[in-house]
Amino acid sequence: MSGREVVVTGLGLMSPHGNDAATVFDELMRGRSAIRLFERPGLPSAVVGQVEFDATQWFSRLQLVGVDRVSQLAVAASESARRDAAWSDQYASERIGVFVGSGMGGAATIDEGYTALAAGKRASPLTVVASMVNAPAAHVAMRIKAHGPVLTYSVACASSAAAIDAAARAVQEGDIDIAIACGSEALILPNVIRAWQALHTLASPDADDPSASCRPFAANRSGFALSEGAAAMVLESRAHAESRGARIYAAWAGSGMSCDAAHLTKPDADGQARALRLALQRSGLEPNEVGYCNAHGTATPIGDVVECNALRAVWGESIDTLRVSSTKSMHGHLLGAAGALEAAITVLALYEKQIPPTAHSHPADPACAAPIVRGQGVDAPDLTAAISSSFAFGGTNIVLVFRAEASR
Amino acid sequence: MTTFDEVVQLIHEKFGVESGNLSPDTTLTEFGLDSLTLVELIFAIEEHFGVEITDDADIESLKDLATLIDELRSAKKS
Repeated sequence: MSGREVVVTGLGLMSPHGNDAATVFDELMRGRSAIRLFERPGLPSAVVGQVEFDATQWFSRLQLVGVDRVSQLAVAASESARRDAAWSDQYASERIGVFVGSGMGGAATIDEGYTALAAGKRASPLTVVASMVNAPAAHVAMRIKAHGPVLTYSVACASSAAAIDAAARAVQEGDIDIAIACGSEALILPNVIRAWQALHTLASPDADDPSASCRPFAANRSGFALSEGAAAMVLESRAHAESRGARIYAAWAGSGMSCDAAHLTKPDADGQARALRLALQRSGLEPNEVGYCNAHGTATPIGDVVECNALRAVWGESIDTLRVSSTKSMHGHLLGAAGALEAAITVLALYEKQIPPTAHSHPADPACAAPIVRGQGVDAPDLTAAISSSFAFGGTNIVLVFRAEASR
Repeated sequence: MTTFDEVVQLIHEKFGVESGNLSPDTTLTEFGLDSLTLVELIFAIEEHFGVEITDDADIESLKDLATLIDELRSAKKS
């Protein structure tokens, strides 16, 4: 790895499990799900993850005009990450970058606009600026006064993994001194859920316990729960972080990217394996040095098998040194924000030396042949490196690698 | 309720601006509207009163806005 070393110094979450990173991680370690039943007239039952969010804690009513929930969540998560990093005005504004991932942008605004038009009414004049997919990044930039690169990545489920990679590389190369990398998604709306239901990728609600509906790597898995939320991390050079005495959660070690270039939705083990290999190579790590994989693990019948096959192809004989979990079983699939939330969880796993589990993962599917952590989290005192995988519709695969600090 | 009172109520409901801070002479930019929120306010006014305010309308204060609304409504009736 060349260039400056990049470290994570702040985390901010607006997640189905809450907004305090330590509490969220604790809930995950206990295997507690935040997924709930979602029922609306005319909508087949669904399970979703929603964020308890009071926008007026972050915006005045006047500031909220023309600001979609997806931007509100992004601003709240980014501002939380900045506070967590205890970074105020040490950096020149033109050396600050904002990198945001979102799949759909302002879904509620689009929904409202079309609903108004379909009813013969006019759409709000702010429909375009509230719904555009780069609105969250623009609002974060205005909030923190970032005058450097402010960019948006829309790569379906890998959107915010792409944002983190871009942010880390911009810091590594010295283009900027500090970055907010954020993912945000807010599409828990009946019309959006219907569209996903039509694609047959969503989990069937468990009649006895809806919170247990998403079962990655289990024999009876049926898909994922759609979720909303935002997660942000502050990335800066180690030299800057140490000079200001910042707490360092973990270091970004590198990333690997590939595209299946084969099918829009069907995952491909070869494509995933290429991203995994590249990630290890860029990070200077051997497979047996990586102790944890926060899997993409969407609990679709095909996806989980393909992902385990890709891990086996890369880890080979070392597969038993790895522990794998899909925390989507508990927070659901945040789509464009999934990469950022799961990267934050991976960073916390390294920081806390604990590996969160896959919940509701029994009975195990023997076809998912990887060492899955199931039920409850486990201690991992020797954990030194971990990866977070995001495999998107469209075929883009992104693997982020983080290293633990030697001591803290 | 006068048209001015209705406008004040609308601004309060939509933007959370305290009614006590709004007088007939309050200008449209005085309580924090920028060019985008102003567009949204005009849209809300049009929807609420069933009028159409053209881009070249000469409105500085809330009094001007209320007067214009009254003129447009009476023109519509006649």
